[in-house]
Amino acid sequence: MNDRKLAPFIHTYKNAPYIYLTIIVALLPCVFYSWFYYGIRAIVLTSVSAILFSVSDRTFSKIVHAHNDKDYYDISSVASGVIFAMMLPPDTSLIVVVTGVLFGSIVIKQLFGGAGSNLLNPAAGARLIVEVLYPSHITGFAEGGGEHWFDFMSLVSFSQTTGEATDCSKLSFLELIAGNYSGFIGTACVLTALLGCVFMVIKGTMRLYAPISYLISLGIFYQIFVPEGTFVVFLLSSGVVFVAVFMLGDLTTMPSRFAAGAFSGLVCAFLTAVLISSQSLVIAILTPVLAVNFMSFVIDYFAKTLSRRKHTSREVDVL
Amino acid sequence: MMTRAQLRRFLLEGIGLLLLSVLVVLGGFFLSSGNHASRRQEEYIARFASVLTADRFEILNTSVLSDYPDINSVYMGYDDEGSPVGYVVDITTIPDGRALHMLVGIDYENSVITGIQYLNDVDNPYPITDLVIQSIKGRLEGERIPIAFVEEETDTVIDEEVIPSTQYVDGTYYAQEFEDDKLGYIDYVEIEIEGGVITRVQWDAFNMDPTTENRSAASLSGAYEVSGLDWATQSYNVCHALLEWQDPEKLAMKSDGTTEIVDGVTCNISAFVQLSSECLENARYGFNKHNYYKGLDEILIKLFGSDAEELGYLNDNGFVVFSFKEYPEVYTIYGEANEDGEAEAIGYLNLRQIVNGNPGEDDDQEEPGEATPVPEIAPDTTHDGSEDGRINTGRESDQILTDSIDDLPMTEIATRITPVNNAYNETRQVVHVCNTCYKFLKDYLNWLV
Repeated sequence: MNDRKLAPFIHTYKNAPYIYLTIIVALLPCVFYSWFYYGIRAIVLTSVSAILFSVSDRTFSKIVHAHNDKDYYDISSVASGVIFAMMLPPDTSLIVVVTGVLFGSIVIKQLFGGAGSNLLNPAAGARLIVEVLYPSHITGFAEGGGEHWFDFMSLVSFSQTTGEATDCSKLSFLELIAGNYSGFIGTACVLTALLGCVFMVIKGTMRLYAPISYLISLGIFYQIFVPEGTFVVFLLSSGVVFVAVFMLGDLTTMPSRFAAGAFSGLVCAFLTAVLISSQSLVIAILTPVLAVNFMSFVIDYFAKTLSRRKHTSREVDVL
Repeated sequence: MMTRAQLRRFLLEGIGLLLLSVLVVLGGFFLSSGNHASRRQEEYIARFASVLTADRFEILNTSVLSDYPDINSVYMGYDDEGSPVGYVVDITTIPDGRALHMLVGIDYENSVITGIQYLNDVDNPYPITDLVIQSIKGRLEGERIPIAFVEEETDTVIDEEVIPSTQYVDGTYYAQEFEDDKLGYIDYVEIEIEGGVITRVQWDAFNMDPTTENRSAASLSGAYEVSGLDWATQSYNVCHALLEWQDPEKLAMKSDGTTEIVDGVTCNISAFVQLSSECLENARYGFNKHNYYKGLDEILIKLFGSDAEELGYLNDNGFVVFSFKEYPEVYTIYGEANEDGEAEAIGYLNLRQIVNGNPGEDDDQEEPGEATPVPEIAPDTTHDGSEDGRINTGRESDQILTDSIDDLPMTEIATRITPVNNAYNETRQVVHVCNTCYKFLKDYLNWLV
């Protein structure tokens, strides 16, 4: 660990800090949307989640002596913290945030070797565990907007439902695409997720194979498994675009090759469509992401040519 | 590694992205806010239509709400000219660990309840049937808050010392009159005992005519009339008094069968006193409702050779609809016959005595059942000569009168209602909800009451 150095043949500045810095910047539109729409609550949720994720990662790696001062500063924790916060309802207690962050940081990330070594997406794992542990305390879809900008009691009250999620089938297209309704604080506005996506693609830190495959396949499978639903409404209101961009485009936990990425997206979409009718939205969307994360090494292995299967390392050939 | 120029460029790109997102978010928000506002108003109007009619609703954002954790949100309704017409309170209370979620509409001018809606949309909801909630709504809508019952139950916890010394076996006990009255009604009383304490009392009467409804239902529909309050309410009041006092004798029934110490009760309660006493005596011997029905069957078999079911005397509700008017010898104790060979009735047996034999004749025939132990207190036999009020000398706790409800002084109560028959707790919970709304509005508007 102490001798960790960049390989001499790498001549790119697109190293890990650069990639995660890009993701953090790509998250800015979503963060701005959440802060603008939900005010103090979103600011606190995002900040606490990001800071706590970093502190937890750093503390744990120091405790187990996995960290060295010569190592690069791991800002992937900030990205994970922000992504996790973006998928929370506005009236979420800080207890929920702490639980999710500690689970995502320690169990999902650090126990598997820390930054770059985790099998699963820490933010997805964190969000899923709080959905399972606190099903009735993570449904606070209170109204956003100016008059609620300074509301903050929900952060400390650990109350149950404070508002219902909007029935999105009644929303106009403009409201849906602008995120002008009660939803998860950072995923409701599709436009902001797409802005982040464009930024990462331009900066070359995102693979589009899996996200595109996922969204197209989901469109098909959704019609099959949820014939009574409207896919456009689901696409714009469920947060799948955010998940596609910031989870399925992840370089660490998703397969690196075109065929493998496309296949992963397809599998993920299939599982989501199957689960959507019987499970909560978060479980239906994030469980397939974790399942694909688990399978990504296998999928990647079989996507390699026979001669290259001897190489155990994963490639980071971006685009 | 990034060079300084690359880093500078990266920062500029990040700032550019942020500005673009500001443009997109603000633009999207303002372009869609018109749709959003009108849609939200449509939702409010549709959602609150049953409790308050208004052209527009605005959510109240006040720190006072933090003092009322039961209240989810409060909305103010306005008419088309922008004048306030009332409030809608979205409230969830948790009685007995179950959630009672309601919408309460309150008029702006005179704090009259404009509507109540029970929402069965929570986990583990407080059970209220549609029939009961309709009855409660009928009593509350149009009334001013705060509200109390005509005879409000004291908040004082029943002191152990007021529990009578009698030892009862837990269970459900039942007794019915042997004869029907002049309208064909047969009174019955059912008492439930838990932990040696009477926890439920019901007094009603079914009719010999299967097409005639029970007396309480008939009184509510106007088919059975008595002086004063309707019979169902009077029945409820006297049952409630027995629950509170645990002894039928404390009802202080006068020789004409009435009582003056139970508010709102003007009807003849002699059947109730007799039947409830019989139930409690049965409770000492563990002679429960099941045994009672078996006893009735035994008598019918002796008389007719068949049980109630075979004879067709069971009605739809499972009551044995039979009057022993023609068979007084079944339950009457006769003295010695006079010269004409006629014997005078010198006493009457209850059903348990008929089935098990009269203990007065042979004390060994019956053994009391295994009773739930309760504190043994010497019965208070002191009487002060007054039957017009409930006075128990030496028991201060008995003399505490209710002076508040839901932390509101009784002097502040604007409306008094009678609880829905057989739904005291449900009515009480809804009244509590309404009074919580009142307290909030009082704080919010800083009312000077």
